[in-house]
Amino acid sequence: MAAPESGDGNNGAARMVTLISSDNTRFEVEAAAASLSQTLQLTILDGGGGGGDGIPLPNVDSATLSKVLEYCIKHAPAAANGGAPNATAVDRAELERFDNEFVNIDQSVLYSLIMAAHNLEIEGLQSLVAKKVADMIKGKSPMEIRRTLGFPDPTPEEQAEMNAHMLEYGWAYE
Amino acid sequence: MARTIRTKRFCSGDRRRDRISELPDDLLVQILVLLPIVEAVRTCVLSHRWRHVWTRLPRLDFDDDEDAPDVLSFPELIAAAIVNYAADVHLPDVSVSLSYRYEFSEAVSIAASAFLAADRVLSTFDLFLFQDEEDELAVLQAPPLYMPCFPWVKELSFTFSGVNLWMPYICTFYRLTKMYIFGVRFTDEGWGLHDAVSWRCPCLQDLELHMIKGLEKVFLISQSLTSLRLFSLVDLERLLVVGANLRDMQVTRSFVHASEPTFMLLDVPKLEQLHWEDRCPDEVQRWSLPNQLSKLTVVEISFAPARFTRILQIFKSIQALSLEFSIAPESAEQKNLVENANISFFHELDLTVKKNEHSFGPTVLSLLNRNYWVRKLSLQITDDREDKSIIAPCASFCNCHKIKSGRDKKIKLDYLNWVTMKNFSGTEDEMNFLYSIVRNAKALHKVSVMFSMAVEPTEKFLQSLQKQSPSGCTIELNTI
Repeated sequence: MAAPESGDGNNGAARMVTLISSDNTRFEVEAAAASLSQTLQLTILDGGGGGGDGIPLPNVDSATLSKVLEYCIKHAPAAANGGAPNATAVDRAELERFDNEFVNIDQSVLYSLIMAAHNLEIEGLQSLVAKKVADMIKGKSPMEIRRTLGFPDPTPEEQAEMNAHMLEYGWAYE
Repeated sequence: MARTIRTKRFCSGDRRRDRISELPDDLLVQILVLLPIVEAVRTCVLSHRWRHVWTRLPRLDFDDDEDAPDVLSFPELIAAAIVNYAADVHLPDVSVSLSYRYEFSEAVSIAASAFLAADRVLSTFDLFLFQDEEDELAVLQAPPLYMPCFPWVKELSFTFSGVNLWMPYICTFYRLTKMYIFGVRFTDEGWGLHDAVSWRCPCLQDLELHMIKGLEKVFLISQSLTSLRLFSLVDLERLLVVGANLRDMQVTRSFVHASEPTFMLLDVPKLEQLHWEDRCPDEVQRWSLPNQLSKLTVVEISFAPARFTRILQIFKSIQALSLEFSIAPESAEQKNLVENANISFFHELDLTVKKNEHSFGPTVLSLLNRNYWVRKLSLQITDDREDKSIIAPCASFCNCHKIKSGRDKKIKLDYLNWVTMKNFSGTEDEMNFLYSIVRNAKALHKVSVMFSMAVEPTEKFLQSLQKQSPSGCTIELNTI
């Protein structure tokens, strides 16, 4: 994955930047895709990340960064069009399909993505993953939510506490 | 991309371990805010970790739309959410919007629960309870609702049809700049509102009152108020406005319902715009009015004898007058307007005329003749009749016969230099009117005609207009 080449876009090719994950893996991506991250955008505008330098991301491991970049590469063209006022319905449907598939992931990956989207300030990804978790909670009873989120089975004390709270918050239920 | 992660959703074993609970509070809140508020509050029972997460939600929107889950008690939900909200931060904006029909007295207790937010710091408070008042007995028997003081709120919006609302008699709305009240009923004739607005809202700039019963007296004394809008205050008899900084005022369909003699006193030296769509009160007193009003809009009300022209006599001078009425040559009111009334001096006239079986030309020409100082005229003819071709023969004394065209009577239009006619449909009435204008307005330098949908100007019409208009006058024909 390492690709320490010149990344200046003057010869017609898109400008590339290099990102370095916490476990020292180098990722070379188009600057336009990496710029979906508000945090990276500033560095890239300043000319950072080109050539052999690379931008270190000490909070993001390579597995997560690879996933984040998959999202950024897919969404970069639409974002370049200023949201997507002139995107066709087909393009939008394709992005939606991609998004649905994208968050169909293990919870620990989801957790890492939420943290990474937050640290890198990628707005679209932040709302995508937040919505994913909200959908896991929506319309479920407390026990169902606990099971969906993978809580360990409650100890008798925890169960008693839950029951007490449910009684206290009885008005919030049907 | 060297590695991509493809894992099946929720595999067995360790992969199912809960990681979401490890997220920091602010990220969990970003998730909860996507849920209906009831579900967000319910997460407090999940575990110790989740107990207080919801208490930092950035919005408290109580909404019972179709998506929202049923709850045992809406008033308790609202009260508990407000009371249990994190104590170390400001309460966010509170909005209660309920469209489900509750028992009237239950609706009153929902509003009372929402009022628990009143003394917490928050920016806007918005309550919308859709209630029909069909069950009159339930409405009358329901307990009154006492509005507390909102010392920190900047914008307050309150909609609740039929509720007997009492305004607070103590404490100051220190930061309130906007207040909107819709549909309520006052049983104190309006004294509570007077007291609150006049003495305990030092920053109030915009006040809007809609469809309110029992407001017999609206007495407002305010240094801060800049905009006042009154709509359908069905019991209004006396209006007193003392507003040193009031710029914009609207009165719509309020006095027109009164059976008792009506009275209005205005002390508004900086008034710029007045929109009047109401009957003129029997008695009008002026303490202080501006020398010139920027804009006066007067709209005739069709269902009641409006005496609307009397409002035109209150101001000495107006920059732009906007008038809307239907042609009725036989009405004494309109005769007075076009022939006798000593109305204010104005530079611009924006007329919207509802056409009926009479021709509109004579009335409008007479009005212009009477107010020959007009420089700019904008005219729009509206016609909502089904069969627009009907022009019934009117009585021989009707002024339709007085001025058939400019040839019959010389009209003085010495200052008119710009005429715009909108929604022009090319009837003979309209064409004759325009010919009269261009023949008689010697200083005219621009005529714009905007044709209505699917009407095209003919070459003959354009030539005819050009021939009759003074030299140097530009003629602009626009089609849709």
